[in-house]
Amino acid sequence: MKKNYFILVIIITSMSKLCAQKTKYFFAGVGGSLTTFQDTKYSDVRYNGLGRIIELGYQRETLKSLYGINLELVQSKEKPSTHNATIVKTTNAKLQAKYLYGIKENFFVGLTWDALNVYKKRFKGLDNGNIYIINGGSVWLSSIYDYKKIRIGLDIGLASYFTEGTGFSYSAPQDLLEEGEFNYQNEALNNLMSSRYHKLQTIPKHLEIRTSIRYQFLKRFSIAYKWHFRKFSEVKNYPVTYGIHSISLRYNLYYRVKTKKGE
Amino acid sequence: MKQLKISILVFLVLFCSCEKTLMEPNPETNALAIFDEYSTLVKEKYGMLAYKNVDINALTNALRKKINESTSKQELFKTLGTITESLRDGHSIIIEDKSDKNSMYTGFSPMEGYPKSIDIVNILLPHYIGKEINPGIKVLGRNLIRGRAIWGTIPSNNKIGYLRIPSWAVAISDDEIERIFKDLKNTKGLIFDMRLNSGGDPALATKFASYFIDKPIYTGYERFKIGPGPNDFSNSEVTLKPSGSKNNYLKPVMVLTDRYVYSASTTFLYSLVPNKRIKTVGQKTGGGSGSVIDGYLANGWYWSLSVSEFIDAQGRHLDDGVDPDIPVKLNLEDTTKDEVIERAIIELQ
Repeated sequence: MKKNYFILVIIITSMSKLCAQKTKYFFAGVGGSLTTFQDTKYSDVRYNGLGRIIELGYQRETLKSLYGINLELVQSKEKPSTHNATIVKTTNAKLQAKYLYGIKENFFVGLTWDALNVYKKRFKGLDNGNIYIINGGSVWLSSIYDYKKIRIGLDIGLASYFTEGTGFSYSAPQDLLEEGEFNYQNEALNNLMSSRYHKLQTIPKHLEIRTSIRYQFLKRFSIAYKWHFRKFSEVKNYPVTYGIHSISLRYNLYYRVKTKKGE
Repeated sequence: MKQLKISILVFLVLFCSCEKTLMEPNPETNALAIFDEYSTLVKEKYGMLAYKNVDINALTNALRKKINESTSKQELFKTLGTITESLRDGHSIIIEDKSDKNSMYTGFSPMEGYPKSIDIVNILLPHYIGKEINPGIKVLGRNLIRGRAIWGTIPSNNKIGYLRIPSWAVAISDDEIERIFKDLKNTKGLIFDMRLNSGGDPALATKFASYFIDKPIYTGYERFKIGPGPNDFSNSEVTLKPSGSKNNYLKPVMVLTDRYVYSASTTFLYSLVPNKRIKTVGQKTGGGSGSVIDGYLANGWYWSLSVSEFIDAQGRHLDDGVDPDIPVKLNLEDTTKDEVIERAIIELQ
């Protein structure tokens, strides 16, 4: 993981030297979220819930590029659709870095890297099955289109390198069970954040999409609707699907516009 | 450019909020659907149908005929309970409402029919571990009955150590484990009283077991269900590694067992069985060798199932329990001594 952060810092540092500066800003955002989840390995019951979103980030934009880093935290309490036996506390924490190339003045295409994406659920009332976790990262093909004060974003997940902590029958990664490496002295079994059983999955087997619509109604304030969808199967024919919708208000803590000579 | 704008907007409209259209539909919650859901879970996830000699297809086919639109909640629960009971597995239960102690429950008790194996209040405290008879006894936690760990020496012989872990469903830190084994290090033998310990955290049990060896030891394999098919299993071969502590206990150990020795306590025991220095004294253990998963049916009923089975280094299936090396019964009429402890002392002298 340390290696990932090091690479992230290198990318951000080097990018800052490549591009002519236009705007840069630090931002913080808060809002509400609506989450849904279904793990068909255990039940077809869908879980739905409401919660909150918090984000912090830094972004720089020029005519030729757009890049930045972003930390996002979503928390919600979900209930099953068909009964009231449990409440599920859901947390999704993401650390993202993106670099998009400006094809036109208002249209950018590039990559986003989720250096960290931890999606965790805690099912009230369950014992061994009480924690569900996906831990890893993804690379996305990203695009941004600006139209007046509206910014539209679309990310398509290209590849994801992650571990799902729950296998077909037990709360351990499916690969760990299939490879016959289950024992209580296996550190990866006790460490939910272990990357030992990370596996690379790509589209279309691993389907992940993010969309966003942001309206910049003041220089420092904007409001956005975002949607994150993910569907994958670590066990064939037993897909896991989740979605996160959010509406958030963003405030630019630091906002600077600079025009260089000759631009 | 206009086309691009339109394309992006259409894409957004089409895909936003549509994850539910890409999910499986919510299941039905009528009696037949719940019966089918539970039957499928048992067929696909239960790890010991062959060992338990359960013909799950014949059983569920016969029971399914009894389910119809007029089947009451109680009748349905009883029918599902018939499947649960057929597994004869203390880990596999079904509960109507886990938060309500008065709700319907079906499970299997491995302890039923076995005599009492320990009398803490009338025998153990006054004659072995009470502060009055044994001032040097130590405890982690509240008291000698509910403590997380109780350890010291036997009053009649201070060269024989005594360690009791009432449950593995507790937190005992690495430092605390070190402290326990450091204190016991100078004894010539140890009585590890496991009676009434019906399980908890198998990782903690394994950590304790790792203090009784000085080199890796093959303990057997866990056979996991990894897919829905009847033959979808994978074996995890288990070799216990020593703790690495300088306080490892490498002297003779008598482990006191009873029918309550279950689940994580079975994990502890199978880790020690290949070790010739260690013997079991008391009653047959309860078993419960499988790893357990749990969840909710679509109507909110709670279920748990064993999804694996452990076969020890000697090839024994452990789920129904294992007879002790030295069978001893407790005489409840004589409250002056604990026959199981006394026999262990004789073995260690």
